[in-house]
Amino acid sequence: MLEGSLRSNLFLSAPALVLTLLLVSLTGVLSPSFLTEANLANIAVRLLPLGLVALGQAIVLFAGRIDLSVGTIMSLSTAIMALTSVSLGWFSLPLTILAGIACGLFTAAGVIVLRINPLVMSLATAAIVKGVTLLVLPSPGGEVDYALYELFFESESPFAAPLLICLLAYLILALVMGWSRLGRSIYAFGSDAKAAFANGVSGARIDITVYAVAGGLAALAGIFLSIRILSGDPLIGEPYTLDSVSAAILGGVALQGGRGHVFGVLAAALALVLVNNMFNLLSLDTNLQAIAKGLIFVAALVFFMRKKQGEA
Amino acid sequence: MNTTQGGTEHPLLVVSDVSKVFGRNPVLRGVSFTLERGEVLALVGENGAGKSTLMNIISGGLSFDEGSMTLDGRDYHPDRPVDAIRQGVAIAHQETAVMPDLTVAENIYFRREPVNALGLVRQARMHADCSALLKELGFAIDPRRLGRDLSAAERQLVEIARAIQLRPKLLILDEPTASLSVQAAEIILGLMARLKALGTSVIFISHRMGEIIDAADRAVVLKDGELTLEAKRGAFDRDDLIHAMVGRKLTNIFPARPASLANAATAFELRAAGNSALAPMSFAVRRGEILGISGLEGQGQRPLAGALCGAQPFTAGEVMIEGKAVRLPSPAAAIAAGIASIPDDRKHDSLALSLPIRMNMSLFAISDKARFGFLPLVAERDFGAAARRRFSIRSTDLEQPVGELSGGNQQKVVFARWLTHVPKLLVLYEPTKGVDVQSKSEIYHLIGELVEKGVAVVVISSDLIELIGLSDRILTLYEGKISGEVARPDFSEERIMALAAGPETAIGELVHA
Repeated sequence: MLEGSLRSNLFLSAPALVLTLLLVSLTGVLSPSFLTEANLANIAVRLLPLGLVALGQAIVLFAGRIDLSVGTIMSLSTAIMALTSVSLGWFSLPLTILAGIACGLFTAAGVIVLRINPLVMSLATAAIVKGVTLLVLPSPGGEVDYALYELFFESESPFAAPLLICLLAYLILALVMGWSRLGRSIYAFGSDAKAAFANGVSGARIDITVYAVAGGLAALAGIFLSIRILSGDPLIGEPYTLDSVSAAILGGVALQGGRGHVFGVLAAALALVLVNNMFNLLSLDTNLQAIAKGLIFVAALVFFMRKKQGEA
Repeated sequence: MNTTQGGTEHPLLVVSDVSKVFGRNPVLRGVSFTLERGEVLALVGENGAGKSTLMNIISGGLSFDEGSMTLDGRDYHPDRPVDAIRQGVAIAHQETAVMPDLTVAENIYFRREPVNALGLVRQARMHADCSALLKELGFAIDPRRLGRDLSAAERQLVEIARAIQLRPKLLILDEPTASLSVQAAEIILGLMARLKALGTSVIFISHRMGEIIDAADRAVVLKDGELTLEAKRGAFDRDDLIHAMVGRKLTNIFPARPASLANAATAFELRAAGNSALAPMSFAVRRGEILGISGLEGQGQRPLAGALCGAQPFTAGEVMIEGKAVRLPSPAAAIAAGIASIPDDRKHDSLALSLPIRMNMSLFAISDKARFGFLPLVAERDFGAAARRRFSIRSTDLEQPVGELSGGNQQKVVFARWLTHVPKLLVLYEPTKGVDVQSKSEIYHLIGELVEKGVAVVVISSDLIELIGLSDRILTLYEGKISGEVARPDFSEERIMALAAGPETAIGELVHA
């Protein structure tokens, strides 16, 4: 089963797994309230949005691209939910996901048709999406149907809907990336776009796929965020952009594309949530969290860059 | 097996009057030839003659500007590589299309992976199939290794295996043997014969005269984008091919070499110098001597060129220039020590394509004329005009962007930049890659003028005709080590290729006995 490049990609996930285990034991020792059921359930709830958005970011990175608009797509999604969930009910969910996919397609269109550098194009999308969000919802507010909250967040067990949804998303994409021709093409395109083209891969199709997936998953992340806070917030998604890239890199995904596995990304997303949780439990200044996250990002980049040079 | 009704009326491939222009430079001018079913055709020509362009057009990687092609009697106009593959045309590129993060098996079966009912790839089955395929082809490569870990020769075999696995009607092999030892190359030639027996047509590009004469049913020679020879087996020999490639007698192309340089002083010497990519090596070059460096592809030529110009410095041993030890930790240090170096990739490593000739020439070259950090425009123009005459650079004027010039004239701009001050050592890496024959001859004579002034020259090249014509002595590289040395009186392609294949024990490692 685990033959081929899948094996080397899983191997890249190992450092993130080790880090997560270390953090779990460290936090467990430092804070007695860590291992309570309520705190673990809280961690699962916080893992859900970051896990989903980081998963989408990882798919984009596998293709050697990057999407810096995912945070603003999350904000937009909370706004759409806050404005429509009471009137439209369940229909607001697919509507929001479609909006997220549309944002991703917009980025892909800029990359394919206008031949704009993907990183820069996703920044442009971010600016536009942010503007649209602030137009429809200038300040935090609106209302999300409480029935949705009851459905997803009522349980106090750590092994409830949030964790299961997150795991399901990762399982599906692990299958697609590891065992499907599409996944192989995405890795190949990120590994060497010219070689992939020579072997019949359509670059445009890859761009459309990965940006649509990232947009859709960011929207899904935004949906759960809005259900949890029962309202919309035009700026709430912003920090998730860096966090999503951070989780992917820390999870062993190469910034140059072509390597890494989604399970590493899940472990790394959990590690980032744990760091957050640790700061809260130890009542440290929240501004220190931002600094710590930035340093973790740099450390992850350096760690995996070193490793790559060592291999070459 | 291709003898279905109507199928045999037409030749498999007809290329009629195909032309292609890059920018303002025509790279193919009205090329026409036909290829029959089950025929092996050798495409011959010097670097830059248009061979790869033509093969890319046939395999859908490039479009053409004029002319037409038919495949199996039907109009053939592939827009993308996939179109060509669908119509039964597969190409094995020269090691460029192996994806580094996929395994050998994943590369070979890419987009044709065996899948189960759910559409998921059957990894174990695929790797097992791949083992069987590689064994049948006679290649000893583990299908589980990643593309990035393969040697140049192994990547080449993976490319070939992938193209064969497509079961094409027409198989194009772009220099399939350039990175292979003589023994491994024979496996490829044997494969071509087996495919031919199955009715597959093969076009292969090669620089090796021996294998062209042995394996080809028909030879097509390109020179500067024009077809200069099309002949059937037996109707051409080695001299015909070379004459068609070069267009005139070889002796006129290369500068004359003195009989002996034994009295000349040593200009440059390496004493056990090496780094992570190069085994400690020692050799000396005399003043006025041209030392050629030959080898199969990827045997340390690039690291050696990089070390000599200071870009990837030596980490061990000594470098001596005119008897004094020097260190070459950076390109700036190498320039200061009197080493001029011309890289193989002029478009990326030495030219600013969108800037005019004038500015490209004056970069570095006349910095001593700068006043308060500014270059006087007059000095720049004078220098440019003089250099344009001296190097006979063909352009509209000094303000023409370098990107619009032909490969040969671009290379002369690079020479002009480096040769304002006579260097002690000139390092040339593939000096005539993508250069037309006229410019080539001019470049060779420029090198001749320089050695007459006492410059020591190292030429690293994959073009054996060039090395044999130009050098006083040839060293061969194998796996980052010097594997042999031949003096001018003993030069022959066979001798040099045998030395380039490395020590006996290493031969045949790539292929099953």
